[in-house]
Amino acid sequence: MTFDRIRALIESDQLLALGEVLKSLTPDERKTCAKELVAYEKAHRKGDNRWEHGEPLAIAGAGLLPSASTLAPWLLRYQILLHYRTEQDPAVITLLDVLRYRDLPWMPELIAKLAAKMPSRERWRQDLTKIIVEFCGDEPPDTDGFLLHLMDSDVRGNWRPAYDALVPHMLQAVGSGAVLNVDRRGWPKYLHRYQDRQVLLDGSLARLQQGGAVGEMDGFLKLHETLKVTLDETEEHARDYLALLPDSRSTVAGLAQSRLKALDEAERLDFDLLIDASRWVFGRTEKKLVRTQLTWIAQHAKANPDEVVLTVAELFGHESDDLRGLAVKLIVKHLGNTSDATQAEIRTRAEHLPADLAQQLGTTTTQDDAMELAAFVPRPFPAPIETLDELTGELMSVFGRNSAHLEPSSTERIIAAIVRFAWQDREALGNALQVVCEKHPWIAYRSEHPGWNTTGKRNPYNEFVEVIIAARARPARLKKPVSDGIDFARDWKTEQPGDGEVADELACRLHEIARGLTYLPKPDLVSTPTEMSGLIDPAALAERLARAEAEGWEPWRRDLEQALHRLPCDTDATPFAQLTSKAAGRLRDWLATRTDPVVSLVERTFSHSGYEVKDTGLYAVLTPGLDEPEKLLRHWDDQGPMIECWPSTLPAQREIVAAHLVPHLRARTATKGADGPLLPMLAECDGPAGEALHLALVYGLGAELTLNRAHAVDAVLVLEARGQLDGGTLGALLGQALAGGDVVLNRVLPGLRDAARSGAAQQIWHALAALLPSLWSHNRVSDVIELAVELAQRLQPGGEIDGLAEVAARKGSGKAVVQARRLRSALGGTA
Amino acid sequence: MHSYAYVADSRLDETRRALGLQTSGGRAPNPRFFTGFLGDSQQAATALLAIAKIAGTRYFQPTNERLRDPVVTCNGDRLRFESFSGCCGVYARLDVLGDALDGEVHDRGTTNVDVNEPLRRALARVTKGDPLHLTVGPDQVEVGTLDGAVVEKKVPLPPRWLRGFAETQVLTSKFDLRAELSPMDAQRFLKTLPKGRAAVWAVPSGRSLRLSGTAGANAVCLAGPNRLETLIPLLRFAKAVRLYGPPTTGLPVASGWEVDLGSQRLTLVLSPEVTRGLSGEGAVLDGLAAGDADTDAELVGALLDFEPRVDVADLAGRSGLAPARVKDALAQLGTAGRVGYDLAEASYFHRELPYGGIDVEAMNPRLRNAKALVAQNAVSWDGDTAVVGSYRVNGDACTCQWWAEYRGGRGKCKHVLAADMVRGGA
Repeated sequence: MTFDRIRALIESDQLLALGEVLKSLTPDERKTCAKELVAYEKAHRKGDNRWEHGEPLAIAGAGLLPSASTLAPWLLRYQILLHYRTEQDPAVITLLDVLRYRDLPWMPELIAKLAAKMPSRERWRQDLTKIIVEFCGDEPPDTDGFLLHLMDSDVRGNWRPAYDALVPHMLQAVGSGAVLNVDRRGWPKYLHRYQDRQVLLDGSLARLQQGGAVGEMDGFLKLHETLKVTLDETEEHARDYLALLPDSRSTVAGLAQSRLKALDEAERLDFDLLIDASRWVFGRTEKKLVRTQLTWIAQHAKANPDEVVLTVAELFGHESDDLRGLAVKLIVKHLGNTSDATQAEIRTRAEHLPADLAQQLGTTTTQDDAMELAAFVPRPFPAPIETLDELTGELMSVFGRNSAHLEPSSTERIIAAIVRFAWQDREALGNALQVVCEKHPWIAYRSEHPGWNTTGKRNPYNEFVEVIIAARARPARLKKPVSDGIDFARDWKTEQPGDGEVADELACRLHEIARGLTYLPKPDLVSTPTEMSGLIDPAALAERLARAEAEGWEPWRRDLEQALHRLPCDTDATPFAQLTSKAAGRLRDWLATRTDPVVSLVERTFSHSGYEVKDTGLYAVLTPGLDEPEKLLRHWDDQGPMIECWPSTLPAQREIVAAHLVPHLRARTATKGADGPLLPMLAECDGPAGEALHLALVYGLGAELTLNRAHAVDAVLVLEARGQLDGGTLGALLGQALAGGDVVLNRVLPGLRDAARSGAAQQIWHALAALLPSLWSHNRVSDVIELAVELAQRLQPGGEIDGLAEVAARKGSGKAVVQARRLRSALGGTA
Repeated sequence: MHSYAYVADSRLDETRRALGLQTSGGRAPNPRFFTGFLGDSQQAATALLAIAKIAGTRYFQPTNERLRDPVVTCNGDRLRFESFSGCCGVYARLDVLGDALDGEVHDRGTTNVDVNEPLRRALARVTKGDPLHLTVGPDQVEVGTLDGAVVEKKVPLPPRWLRGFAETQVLTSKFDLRAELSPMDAQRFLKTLPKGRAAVWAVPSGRSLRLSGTAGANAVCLAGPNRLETLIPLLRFAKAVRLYGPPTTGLPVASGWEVDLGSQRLTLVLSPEVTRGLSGEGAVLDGLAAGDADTDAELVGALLDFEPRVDVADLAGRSGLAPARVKDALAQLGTAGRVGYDLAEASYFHRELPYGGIDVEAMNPRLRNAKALVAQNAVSWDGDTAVVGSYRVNGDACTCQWWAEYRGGRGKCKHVLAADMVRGGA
């Protein structure tokens, strides 16, 4: 009877009344009700409304359950959401009231259990925090979860002496830095005012040494700043500060450097520690830290020339010539005061410096052998799929969860195998595909619901799936025979256009295969590539057509067309002269009339009607074929257009493909998706390597994803190996893209450096020579000049670069000016 | 859960420059391995910090849970400190070779070594100077006075972590040297690595390396360059950096990175992808499924005595087994964590993971599932093709989803294993 009342109150969410009833129970009633509550909750949890009545259930549990081991998981399961409510929340007040009334002997155990289970990464259990704070007395728990919740709640107004002992633990908890970093909470100031300085300093140094996320470190930096550490304390912790130098975040290392420097200025830093600190800093990449360290250590060069010179020589291995130059300058100044042994050591180490810097130390550099690129060899296309099992495996891999993008060669092999197997044994093929459909039921769903796609848009990926669906079904009988030259995609082409000409070609070809499998199966495809780039050897195509002639069948229309598109540019009709079939005739006609569109680069602005979106960038326009590239691929669909298969769809006209890829590659400068080696594929294709391809490279080199940038470098090297890279065009386009903000220098430069050091030095030099004139006012131009100096010293190209003389003639010793002078002298001019 | 019981906290006495590492587990409750001096103290301290850092880090899905302590093996002439990240994606080993050690070896074996925050901070404070006095294991005074007192630490010990720790040895035994960098080139390359999770390839280019999107000749896979961050402080002391990797098929693979410090070596092994642990690489399943390796492994295991280098020819002679079978047996021992593999010397070394109750079968669910398939008679034959459930197995290839995605790059699937077992048993 009593529990029915409780149950009614739970289900009507009457918290206050529930609390009163719970308090009025006798021990026996409580025991019986507890059992009923557990049974009720079990049923409730299985029911459809299990997310309801969480708060009354929490209160009921607190009022009834007999032990810590039953109540702790209960309270963890049923949460009272507090973070958006006032402090005077009736649910929590009732809960605390009920617990207070029960005066549980096992409360310490409950607190320990709750504290141990409190989450530490998300802090949304303030209800549990309230319980613990209310009942823990002078023995608060010290788990990370509880402490972080405590810091997150407004505990400072109700601080108890018992909490003092928790402060070291608070600082140790991962996540406390982020809380310290929240300004409105004001923790650093509060701790500084009321807590032991030594504990706070120790704690923050320990956490800064351990490292962590930016926000976390910022919190401890704030705490450290609030402490206003004295010189005495810095001296005591000098080695702790030193330990911050090797691998911490740059802001943290900057703090350590400034503290140690302050100590040194007061002449209280051990010289050995200074040397050690310098070695650690010289191993870092941040130029600002290194420059500061150089200026600092230079002040000790007179007193300790040997140690300082040898330490500064650590910088000879640094990536930046700017810093190496400063190091050399410092060493030159003090080398005369050092011992013979030191001088000899410095000369040996200087052998790895750039020639002009080494010369200042009286050493000649050992020039590395220039890296030669291996000659380009086209990669052969893999053998066809031979068994149905192999086909199943390939399909499974295409649809697997780890397959981020399609492999163009596997797509080709799959469709070729489907066509062949469908001709040989349709039923066996159907059975094999059944396994794939069982694993991926959405394919079967599409075949059973032909109207599933309501957009009506041409989309290669959907057609690829249609090929599989068509192959599962039996061929349809036609009332009247159709001609061999029928264009299955003719009517379909009038539907809503897809993602440009290349995607349409691909979609129509796949559509034809799907329809052809149903209405007019053929023994084989003639368009399967013979090279990974997608190209077909003309002799191989002639042989395939001859075989079809001998067997008495004609290839599908678009299959033949695709085969034509895959013939290398310089193919003429000779290999096909002996063939007599209609297909061969069509092929000869096409070959005679083949033309390339005109490519031009334009700056276009895309604006979306109804939104304030304006996006201006450099695109490639094709006449005819692609008038409005800025509108291409503006929708969110990485899979549908099958971009990764575009290069092999038109492998002899890579300018067309490149022009179509430019919008996508441009988008990839701000998105992280991986599309496979698009640019290396383009580089392996045939046809002129013109402006569109070079623009694609520019965007590739500026991609957000490291992997995509690495692909771009691979492509540059393939083009170089084939003698098709045009450095001048690349540099000029890069200049335009940088000026328009389409790519950023930080990302592009490492790629250019890698390419230059891996065999493309000559063309990258041309690129830099074309790029620099547009870059003189860029704030990181000195990095580009450094690479130019490296290449100029190696290649001795001579010549002039627009504007170089003016920059080199500027006064002062700014980075750009110094590097410009070096470049000028490397080019044979007077610096 | 695993419980460590140390007689005291490991500590570094900075005034006496004495490093006392406490031990727990192995052949004795608190074994005592070494007392003496450790040369190159700053290098050694930095390298130990790297080991401790990896033991306490999860590079994927970080949590705040307490992680496992490193393991130390005394092979007589050298000490090897091993640790394995909580995400099972990074394995690290510091080999302190004979040249860096000057003292007395009390015992050989493997044990856990306590690493705590005060010790970490003290190690970070070590600068260039005199050698450190090193004790591995409780010293006589501690054993005498602290009888019964223990420092207890409890940590979760998931099977996948144990398996990965063990499996790395078998995996790395298939690695070859791919590139060797001078300290200067290594610094330039490793310090300027861009961020990102996707696997890229480091390919030799001139004296150094460059990043490539595809696996060329001698390419080493690199996924999550942030996982190499522990190497960075050590580069200052490096004599050379070596890269190791298995033969590549184009799919991401594991990689080995060794920093040669002269008398010490730090080796990291990275899993093929940040989201993948070394535990699931399946390198050992083949050997385990073969069955007869079991008895060989027992025989070979009994002959081992914490040798720094396991000599296959010598073991073959002593055990009367053919060298190929000895290698299989060593791989089998590797699965149970009973041998480690040293990339620099291209040889196994003996060590026993100091965790009780390692059940190889429980640790390898794929093997267990394959055995279950065999027990259910789920394997039938269609010519040379094995039909396992609705999947068809041809040689090493299967039509299941798992195989299609990894192409054998993570070992055999349960269907291929089951077919192999039936074929072997028939």
